[in-house]
Amino acid sequence: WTNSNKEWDAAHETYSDRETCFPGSSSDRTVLGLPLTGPLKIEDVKTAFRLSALKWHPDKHQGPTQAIAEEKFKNCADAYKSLCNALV
Amino acid sequence: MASTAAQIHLIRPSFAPNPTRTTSKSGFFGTSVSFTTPKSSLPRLRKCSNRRNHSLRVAAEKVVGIDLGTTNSAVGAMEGGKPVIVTNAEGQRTTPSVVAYTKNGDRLVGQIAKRQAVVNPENTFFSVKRFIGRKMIEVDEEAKQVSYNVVRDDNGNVKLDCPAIGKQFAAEEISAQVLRKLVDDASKFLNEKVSKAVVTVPAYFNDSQRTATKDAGRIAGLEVLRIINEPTAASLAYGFERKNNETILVFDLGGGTFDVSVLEVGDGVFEVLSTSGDTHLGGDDFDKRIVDWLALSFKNDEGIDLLKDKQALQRLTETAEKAKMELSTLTQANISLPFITATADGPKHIETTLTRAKFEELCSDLLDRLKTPVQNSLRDAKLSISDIDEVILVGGSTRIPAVQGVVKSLTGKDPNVTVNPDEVVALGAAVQAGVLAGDVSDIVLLDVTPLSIGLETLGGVMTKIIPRNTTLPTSKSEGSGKKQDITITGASTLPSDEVERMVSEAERFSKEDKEKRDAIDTKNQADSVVYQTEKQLKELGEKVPAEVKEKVEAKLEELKKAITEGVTQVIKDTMAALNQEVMQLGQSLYNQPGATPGAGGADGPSEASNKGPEGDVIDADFTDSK
Repeated sequence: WTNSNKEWDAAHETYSDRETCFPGSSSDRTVLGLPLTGPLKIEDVKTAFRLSALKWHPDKHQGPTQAIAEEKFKNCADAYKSLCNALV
Repeated sequence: MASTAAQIHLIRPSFAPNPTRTTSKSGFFGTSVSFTTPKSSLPRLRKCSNRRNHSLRVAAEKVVGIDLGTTNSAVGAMEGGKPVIVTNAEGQRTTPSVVAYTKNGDRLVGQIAKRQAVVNPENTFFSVKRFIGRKMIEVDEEAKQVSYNVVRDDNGNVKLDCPAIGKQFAAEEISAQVLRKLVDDASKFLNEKVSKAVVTVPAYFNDSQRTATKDAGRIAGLEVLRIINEPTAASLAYGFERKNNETILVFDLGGGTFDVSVLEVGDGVFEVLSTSGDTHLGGDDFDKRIVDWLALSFKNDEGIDLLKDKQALQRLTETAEKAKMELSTLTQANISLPFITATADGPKHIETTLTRAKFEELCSDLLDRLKTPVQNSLRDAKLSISDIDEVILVGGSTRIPAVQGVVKSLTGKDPNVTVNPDEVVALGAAVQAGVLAGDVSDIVLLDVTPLSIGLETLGGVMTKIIPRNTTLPTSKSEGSGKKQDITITGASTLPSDEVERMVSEAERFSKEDKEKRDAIDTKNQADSVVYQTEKQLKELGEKVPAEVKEKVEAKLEELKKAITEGVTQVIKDTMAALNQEVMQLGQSLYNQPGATPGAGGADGPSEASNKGPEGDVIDADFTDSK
C-alpha cells in the first residue's frame, strides 16, 4: 500500500498537506521509535533522530559498546535519511 | 558544498585502520550518512591504550580543546561542567602561534618569541598554519609574505629554513612546539596531566592539512582524539547551554582563513548543514594591505623598497597589525616607525596617519571576497537568509567594523556578540573533548567536511572518496570567482618514518629543555639558600652555638663550591645537606633556655628548600616571635 500511497501523494498532494500523508517504511519508523503508521511530521522525525543520535552516537560509547553503538547509529541515520526523503 | 559519497578509495594507509564512514549533506533535512567497511582496528587499539592508562595511572587526566590558530592559539577545558579558557604560563588567555630560535640556539615559543621577531626575522616562525600539509606550489604567495625562508624539499613539500641552528623544519614541527607549550601550560594550570586533546582546524582544511595537524600533535607527544572544524566548535560553545532549536550561521574570519558554516542546533544535537570558505583569506591579508600601502608610499618618497628588508618588513607588519586593531575602535590610527631604514643622507622614518576609510578602501576586494562563501553556504544548506536565527562571529578579524558591516548587509541581522571571538573555538573544542571524555552527556556533534577528500566525520574517522589525481575546485575559485583547479597528486604530508624521527627528536629536545630549566632553577635556588643562610648567621651572631655554626658554615662552603662547579645533582644534594644543618640550627636556638625561637630568618632557607625538588623538610615547631 505504500507504493499506491506514494502515487496518490504525487498526484494530489499539495505543499500544505504534505505532512499529513503516511510516508516512510515501517522498519525505518521502528528504528527511530516512531509510530508504525499514521501521519508523520518532519519535526517528529527530527526529534526522534536527535534522541537516537544522543543515545547511539559512537562518541557516547568510548568503551567496548562502541562497535554496537556504531551499528545502531548507522541504522538510525539511514532511517532518518530515508524518512526525510520520503517526506520531501 | 554537498559532498557525494561516490566511491571509497583509501589513499593513505595510515588511516586505513579506521572504520570508514562518510557523512555528506544531501537534501534539505540534514546529513545523509553512509557507512562502509565499519570494521576497525584503530579504535580497538585506542581502547586498549585507554584501559592501560587507566589501570596504571591514578592521576586524573584531562582532555583539552585546542584552537591552533594561524596567529594565536587558545586552550579550553571542561571545569565544573562548563568550558573555560586555560591561561598560559604568562597569564594570557591566548598564546601567539610563534616559535623562534635565538642565535645561541635557544628555543622560544609564544609571546616571548613574538616579541623578538623584529630583531630575529629569519628565525622567527609565524603563520605556519598557512604551510602545514601543503605542497610548495600551493603556497607560493604565502611564502613571499613571511620573513623566514620557505623552501621546497625533495618531495615538493614545504620546509622552513632556520639559519640560527642550521636546520630545516617541517611546518608540523613548528606547530608541534606551539602545541607542546599550550599543553605544558595547560597541565600546570589544571594541575593534571594532559596528553589528549581535540584540535580544531578550518572547515576548509583538506585531508593533507588535517593529517599534518594530527602529526603535529603526535610530534608534540599529544594524542589528538579528534580534529573538528573551527566554526563547528564555535557553535558548540555558543549552543552549549541553549536547548532551543535554532539555525545558526557561523562566520569565522581568523588570522589566515575564512570559514562559514550553517548549523542546525536542537535537543543537544549539532548538525552541520553546510560549510564553505576561503583558505587564503584572513587577518594577515588585511595587515598586508597596510604594509603594502606603507611600503609603496615610502618607495615613492624615498626610492627604497622596504619589502626587501626583512627587519623593516617585520616592523611594518607589526605596526600594520596594531593600526588595524586600533581602527576597530578609532576612526584613524597614527603610524610611527622611526629609523625604518637609512640611506647616505641619514636615517629614514615613517610618520603617517591611516584613516578607517582609507583602510577599508585598501581592503575593499578582501571584503568583497567574504560574500561568496556566505551565499554558497546558504545555497548548499538549501536555506534562505530568513531561515537563519543567529549569526555568530568568530575570529579576531570579525572585530573590523567593515567586516561586521558586510555580515550585516549579507544577513540583514545584527551579529550575536555574546561570545568572545578569540576564545569561542577553544571553548567549543573543550566541549567536544568533554563529550569524548564522557564528561558531557547531553551533546552530540554531527559534522561534515566540505571537500570530498578525506572526510573526518562522526567518529573522527577518515574516508577518502576522491582518488588521487582528481581535480577539484580550490577555495580560491570560491572567492575570486575565477575557475581554478588544483590536482591532488599525492600526500603533502610527512612520511610516517619522518614523523617518528620528529617525535623522538622532540622528545629528546624536551628532555634537554627540562634539564636546562632544572639546572637554572636549581642554581637560582641554591644562590638564594646561600644568601638566606649567610644573612641568618649574621643576624643571629653570638646566639648560635659555635659547633652548630661551624657545621652550617662548612655545608655553606660546600654549596658555594658546588654552585661554581655547576653540576645540578651535586648542588641539589649539598643544598639539602645545608638545609638539614640550618634546621638543626633552628632547633638548637629553640632549645636554648629563654631564647627567642626562630628569630629572624630562621624559616628563610627552609622555606626555600620547601620549593626545592628535594623538599623533604622536617617540620620543626617554630613559633613566630614577631
